[in-house]
Amino acid sequence: MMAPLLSIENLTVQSDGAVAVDGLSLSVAAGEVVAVLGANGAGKSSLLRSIIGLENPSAGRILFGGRDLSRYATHRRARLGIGYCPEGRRLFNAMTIADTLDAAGPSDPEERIRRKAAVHDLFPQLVERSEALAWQLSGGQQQMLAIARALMGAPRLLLLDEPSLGLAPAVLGELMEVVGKLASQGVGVLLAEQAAARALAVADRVAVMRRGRVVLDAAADTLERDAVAREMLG
Amino acid sequence: MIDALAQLTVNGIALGAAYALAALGFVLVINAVGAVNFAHGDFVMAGGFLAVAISGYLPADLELPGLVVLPLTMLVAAGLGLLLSLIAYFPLRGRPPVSVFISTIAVAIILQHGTNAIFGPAPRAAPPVFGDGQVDLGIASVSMQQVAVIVVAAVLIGAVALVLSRTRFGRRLRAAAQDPEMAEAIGIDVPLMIAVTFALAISLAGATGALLANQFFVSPDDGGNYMLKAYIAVVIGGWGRIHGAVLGALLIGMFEVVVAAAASYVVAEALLYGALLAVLVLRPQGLFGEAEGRRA
Repeated sequence: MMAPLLSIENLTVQSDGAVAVDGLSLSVAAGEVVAVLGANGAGKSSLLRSIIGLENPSAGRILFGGRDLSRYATHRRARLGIGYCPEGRRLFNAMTIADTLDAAGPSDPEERIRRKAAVHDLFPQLVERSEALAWQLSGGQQQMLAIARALMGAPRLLLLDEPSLGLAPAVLGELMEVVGKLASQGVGVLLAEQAAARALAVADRVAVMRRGRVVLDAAADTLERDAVAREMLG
Repeated sequence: MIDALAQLTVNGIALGAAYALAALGFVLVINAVGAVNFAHGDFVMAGGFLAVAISGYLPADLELPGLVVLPLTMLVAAGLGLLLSLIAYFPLRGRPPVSVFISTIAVAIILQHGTNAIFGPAPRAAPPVFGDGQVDLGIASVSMQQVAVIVVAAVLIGAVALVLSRTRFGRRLRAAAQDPEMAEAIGIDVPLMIAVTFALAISLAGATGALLANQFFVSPDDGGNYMLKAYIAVVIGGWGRIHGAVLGALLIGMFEVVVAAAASYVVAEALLYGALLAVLVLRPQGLFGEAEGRRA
C-alpha cells in the first residue's frame, strides 16, 4: 500500500493557552479530498495552521511525503508542496492579481508563466481583472485569487480553510468544481468547513472534529448529511 | 524676485531630494517590520563619516573621488544595515514594536558616541560627487553638488520604485511587508526579505549622508535632525506610504528653504513642527494617504 501524502499522528496544538487540537490523527492520500467538518472552535483552523507551520504542535508529528515537517520552517513547507488558503483569504490587498501571482510563483520565469497559465485556465475571471487590486475584487473573485495564489507553488497538498465563508452558492459550486479538478490531477486536498452539504458533495472522506478531536472518520459516500450535522454539534 | 524664487526652488528641491532618500529608507523598514528604526538618522550621519573616512584612503590625484566614495559608502552602509537587523531586530522579532524602538535608540546612541570617539566632534566634509563649481541656469545657479544630490536621489528612488513594482523580488518584498505570515505560507523567506530591506534602507541612508556631508558638513550629533525629518516626511506622506514619504520629504525641503529665506531657519523648524501637529490632528492619514475607511 502506498504511503499517504500527509500523515498526522497524535497531534496536539495549544492556541491562546487552550487545547485547540487534542491528540488528533488523520491522513490524506494524493488525489484525495478529505473534508474536516466541525463547528466554530472545533480546532479546524489550528489543525491547518499547524500543518503549514504557523502554529507549533506541543505533541505529535506531521509527515508530508514521508518527511517530518517539524524540521521545516513555514516557507520551506510551502516549497515542499503544501499550498495554504486561510480563513478570511488574507490577500495582499495593496497588490494586483498579476503581482500577487508573480510573488507566489517560482523563481524560474518560464515555469512561472506555465503555472500562471494553468491557474488562469482554472479561474478565467482572474485574467480579465489581472490589474485590479485584491481589495477591489468581489468575495468570489477574492476566494479564487486566494486559491490561485496557493496553486502558484504547484502544491501536492492544498489546505483550504472555510472557503465557503461569505460566498453565494453558485460561486461556491464553481470553487468546489475546481477542488474536484485538482484532486483528479493528483493534488491531495484537506478542506476545513462548517458547510457540511457542499463539503460532502466533493469529499472522498470526512473527518468530523469536536473540541480538537476527530469523532468520526469515514468515507463520504457512506454518510448522510443529518448524521454528520449531529456529530458536528455533539 | 523671479530669480530669487527660482533659486529658492532649486535649493529646496536639492535639499528635499536628499531628505527623500533618507525618508525612503526609513519607510521601507517601517513597512517591513512594522516598527520605527530610531537609528535611521544616525545612519545618515554615519554615512557622512563613512564617506569622509573612505575618501581618506583614495589617491590624492583622483579626479572625482566622490564618484568612488558614494557607491563604496552605500556598500559598507548596506553591511551595517544587515548588522543592524541581526543585532537590533531579529533577537526581538515577535515582541511588541516598542522593543525595536528601544533597541534602535540604543544603536543610535552607540553610533553617535562611536563617531565622536573616532572622528571627534568637529564638522567634517566629504568630497563632492561631480566636483566643485556652479551651473548657471540663467534665472538660478546650481552647485555641482546640488546637481549630484538631485540626480543621485532621482536615480536611486527610481531604481527602488522599479524594483518594487516590476520585479518578482520587489513583489515578494511587498507581500512580506503586507502580511508576513501569509508571505511565509506562499514560500517567501520573510527573514531574508527583512534583512535585505534593512540593508537597502541603510544603504540609502548612507548615500544621503555622503551627499549631504559635502554641502552641509557632518557632525556626530546630526542624526537626530535627519531622523526627525524622515519621521515628519512619513507622517505627512501617510504612514507607511512609500511615494507619500518621498513627496513629504520634498515638501519639507522646499518648506525649510523658502521659510528660512523669508524669516529664519529657527522659524522654519518651528513652523515645520506646527505643520506636523496640524497634519496629525486634521489629516492623520497624511496628505497623500487615503482615509482608513476606503482601505480593505
